[in-house]
Amino acid sequence: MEIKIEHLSYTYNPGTPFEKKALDDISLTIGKGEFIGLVGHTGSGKSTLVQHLNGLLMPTQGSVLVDGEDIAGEGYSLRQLRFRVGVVFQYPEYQLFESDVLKDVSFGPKNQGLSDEEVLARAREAMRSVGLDESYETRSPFELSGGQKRRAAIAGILAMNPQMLVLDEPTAGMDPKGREEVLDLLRQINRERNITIVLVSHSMEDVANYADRVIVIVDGKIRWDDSPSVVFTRIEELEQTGLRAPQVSYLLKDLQDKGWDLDRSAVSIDAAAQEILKALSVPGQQTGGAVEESGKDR
Amino acid sequence: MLKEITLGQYYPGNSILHRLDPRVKLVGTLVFIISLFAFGSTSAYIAAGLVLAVVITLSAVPLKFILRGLKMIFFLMLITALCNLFLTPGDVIFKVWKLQITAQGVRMAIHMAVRLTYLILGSSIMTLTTTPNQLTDGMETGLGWMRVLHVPVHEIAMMMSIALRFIPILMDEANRIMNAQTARGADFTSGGLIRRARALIPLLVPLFVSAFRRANDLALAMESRGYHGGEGRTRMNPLVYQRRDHIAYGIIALYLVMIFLIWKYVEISLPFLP
Ligand SMILES: Nc1ncnc2c1ncn2[C@@H]1O[C@H](COP(=O)(O)OP(=O)(O)OP(=O)(O)O)[C@@H](O)[C@H]1O
Ligand SMILES: [Mg+2]
Repeated sequence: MEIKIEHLSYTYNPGTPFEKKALDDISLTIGKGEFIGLVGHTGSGKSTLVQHLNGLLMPTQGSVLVDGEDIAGEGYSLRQLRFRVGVVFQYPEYQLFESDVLKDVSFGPKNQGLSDEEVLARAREAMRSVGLDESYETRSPFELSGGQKRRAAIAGILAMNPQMLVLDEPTAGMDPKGREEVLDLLRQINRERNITIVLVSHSMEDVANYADRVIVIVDGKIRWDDSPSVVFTRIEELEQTGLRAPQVSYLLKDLQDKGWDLDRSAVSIDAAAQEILKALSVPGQQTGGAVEESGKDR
Repeated sequence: MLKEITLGQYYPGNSILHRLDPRVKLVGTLVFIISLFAFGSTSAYIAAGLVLAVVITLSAVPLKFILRGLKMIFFLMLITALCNLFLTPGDVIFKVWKLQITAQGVRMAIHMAVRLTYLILGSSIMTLTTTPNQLTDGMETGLGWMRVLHVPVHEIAMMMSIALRFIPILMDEANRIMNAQTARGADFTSGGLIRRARALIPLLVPLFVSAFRRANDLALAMESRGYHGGEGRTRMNPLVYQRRDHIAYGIIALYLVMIFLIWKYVEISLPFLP
């Protein structure tokens, strides 16, 4: 599926003193199988934008087209759209309500009207893929740890087999191992099942390591929409908007400033390591001191 | 749907009404309500309505917001009016089968509707121009003398201010949970009564869980900052009467006298009313 957003603006509480323009003239296209990182400072409008993708919010101006069809159109089934675009909200653990985890994960597929066996199979599969084994099936969601609750909530969305998965800060407040597992899971879903992923995150490292495309929102407007290697080399501009680049971008920049001959477009740790090794192997490079110094800066 | 509760909602502004001491506003509202019930006549209601109109204008709150409170009690008003209309004994002016409308009934129904409307409008104006904090401050200070009667004034005020503070938070939370469940295909708007009631479970369970969690966190946070109830507690911004507050008290007293006199001596009978 393809989602096309055209000149979308959204205003909260229009016509009241609490009026707030959260999105301003947003245009973008999300193609099938993409892995998009959505970043922006607090209050920039990320969550608001995300809620337009499955029709929870309707544009004040502009339109959202899913496979060419306007979701605000008469007779458009928003309910079907919600099964196709799975949205995992900020702090999804607050949506758990059933008496055991398996039932909770089944809630989505059940709403889709599937048969009992199908529901069960989907729920089990989703639980496995987020790393919750059988022993969790009968446990109450309220006695899980924060990270486990998060996984259960993500499983609840995965079980609906969406074609697009939108996650609003899915790793906020998780430990490093848990974060990596969740993000690896997303990558796996994206690669193996060709499911589009939109990842909202405050971690530039995560976005740099996992996304193929970065969209930066500043005050409700799209500031950049490009590959990570292009966006994250604009360190100064990013900082002016209250964001920053991933650590490795700073490292590469420092090295370059020290006179190293290297390409700054690497944004993931692995790619940057490759780049540095390559530079090191060039004969005549005065290196040792430079590495140490730039290490001190950071 | 959840956004429509205005009662207890503050409308930011800087009008003279916003700046008045909350105690004055509380007393004013109380006097107004008492006057509605003590001095019920067409003439008194017209006078009270004019005063209300002036106050609403002074508050600079758009009429739309003030009227929102009325929407909530529309059905209550309708039922009250119908009961009065049909069940008041007196001179029958209209009769179908066993239902009869009396002149006194018409009068009662209209008076009741007016009274309820004024009541809601009057108290909405107070809550719209006073922050919940000021309101409970005003109550606590204004009712301080009741402590002598072993009424836990401070505790009640604290509970009220927390409750008021939590209304918007819980409404936000309810909205968020509703969004999350809608995203999982929950349907809150269709089906019969039982289906709809069942559909609320995915909303209510997380809402209660979160309310308890918040209450617990708040209690811990208060205790760890040394809160121990009202005994010996001083205020950061004690309420102090200004000149305008004294003037306002004067106006309130004048209002009471005026309404009393009008009720006692002015007789208005509208042509269409018996
Ligand atoms: N329900 C609402 N009512 C009114 N204003 C809102 C509402 N939700 C968000 N806003 C405002 O809209 C703007 C964008 O909010 P949004 O939640 O989309 O930001 P965000 O980028 O997701 O921020 P964060 O990184 O903190 O989650 C903010 O200024 C916020 O105050
Ligand atoms: Mg957000």
